[in-house]
Amino acid sequence: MADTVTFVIMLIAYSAIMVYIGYRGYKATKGATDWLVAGRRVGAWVVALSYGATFISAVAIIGFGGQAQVFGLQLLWLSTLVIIVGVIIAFIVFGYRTRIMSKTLGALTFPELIAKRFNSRFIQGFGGAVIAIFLIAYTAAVFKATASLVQITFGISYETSIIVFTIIVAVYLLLGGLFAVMWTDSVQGLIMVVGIGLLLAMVWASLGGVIPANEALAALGPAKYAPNGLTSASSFGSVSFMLVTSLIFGVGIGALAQPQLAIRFMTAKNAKVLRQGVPIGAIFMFLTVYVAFTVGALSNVMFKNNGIAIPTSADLVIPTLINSLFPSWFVFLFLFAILSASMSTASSLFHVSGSAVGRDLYDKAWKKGLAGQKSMSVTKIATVVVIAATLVLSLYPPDAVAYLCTFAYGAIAATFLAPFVATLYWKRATREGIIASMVGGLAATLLWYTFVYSKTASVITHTNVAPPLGLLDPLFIGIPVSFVLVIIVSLMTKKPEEEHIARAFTGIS
Amino acid sequence: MIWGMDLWVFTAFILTYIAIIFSLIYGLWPRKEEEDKEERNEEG
Repeated sequence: MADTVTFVIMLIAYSAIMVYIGYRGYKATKGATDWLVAGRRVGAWVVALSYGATFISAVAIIGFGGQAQVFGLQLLWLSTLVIIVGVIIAFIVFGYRTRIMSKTLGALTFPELIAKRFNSRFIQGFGGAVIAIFLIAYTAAVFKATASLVQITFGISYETSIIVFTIIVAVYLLLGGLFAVMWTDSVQGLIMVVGIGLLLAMVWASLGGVIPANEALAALGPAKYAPNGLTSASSFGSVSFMLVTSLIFGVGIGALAQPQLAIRFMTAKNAKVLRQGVPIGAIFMFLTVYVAFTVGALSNVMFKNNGIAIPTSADLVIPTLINSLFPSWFVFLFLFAILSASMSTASSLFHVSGSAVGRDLYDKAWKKGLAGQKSMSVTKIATVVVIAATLVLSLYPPDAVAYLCTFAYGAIAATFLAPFVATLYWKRATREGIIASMVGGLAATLLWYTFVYSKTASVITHTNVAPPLGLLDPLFIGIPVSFVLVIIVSLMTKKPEEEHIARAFTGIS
Repeated sequence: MIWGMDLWVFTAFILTYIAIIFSLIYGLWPRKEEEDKEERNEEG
């Protein structure tokens, strides 16, 4: 077990830096635009690093890294897709228009952008409710993963870890709003890049380079979920093929409509920031996700060469690898990289959930818009409530939280992706079409999780649907349903007013 | 097998690097005229 005292001292120094950034954010925050979209004056490095650090949580590194041990290098498709879809397409196809349209319409949250584009309080309220319900559960899961790692490595109790992390994040978030969140994200993102990036260099070095490492992995032969070997793809149509493609496309495409990521586009100072953010974001993903997946797969060789038993749970693969085979200084560095991954994701989720409850749901949808300072106070109070709720759910998680967390990614993508595309690109889309798309996409996803998707349906409703249908990710049902609904219902309803469309698309060529 | 990977996995491996190179060219290549025009549009 690594030295607990050293860890505590380093944690205090780390927290002091984060709180100082929070204080700087506090000085820079004057009103709602500063708190919610960082004054729309953020530069390329901060936008891109914050985007990446928010995207990549401890779950992505520890959880998916562990999955790579099981699936082998075929999971590299996921990191490829995260770079191409999650960064390049997201920034180029969605980023520019999101920034301009949100500025023109004065939208300060992701649901507010869609709501203002379609003049609908319902859209904002419904969007806010979906974000609040699913992202609070997701945040609880992010904290749970980190606290478990700290418990394994340093023997600090799970409860203490959760409470300490929550307090640190709460302090800097409540001090400086999105300014604090994005700047701390950037520092945390740099720690992630160093800690995680170094891991692959060390693994490759110990295995004699890229090609010898791959050859050693291939020589291990077939595995349960890599029947053709750990450096080969599964055969088309097989169970492992369904599992891995479902995972890859589900996560890759789902990334396009996550509110905590889309809000970053609204903070960019100008178009140049987004253009320059593309390579920074892509390289960040390479140095984190690509590394985690490669190391996860190569851990099979590392464990074999060193006579270490492969952990029974995929979540323990990376922690076991680090704790058993790396020097203690690296254990600290890696742990702070994971801590940074968790905190950067959690602070962004707290921020987006707090504004969903305070601004989208209460202020705009229910109270029909409060006055300036009152509106700000409501959002801040809602953020405190969200943080407290997440803390309680992390400490005493009811069964429902595990399900909501599993549903979170797919449910949010199915609710927002089609409306987001229509908001930015389809002038003929109508309010009714968007509402049908949001409600229908969410309903289809939840029904699929409950009755068909074998992983969840077998527990919730005890139904066992055979593959391939039972292995199909609900996102593949929810997203097409929501696209079909927005098209059909929009074409069946009255065209939107041309004057409003012209205003919404001002500055978009 | 190419570099110890089958063709499908190797494609993902090489696509990652192509994506990184594309992002670098896209991000670092100045597009001053377009960006200036956009700024003028927004101001207008």
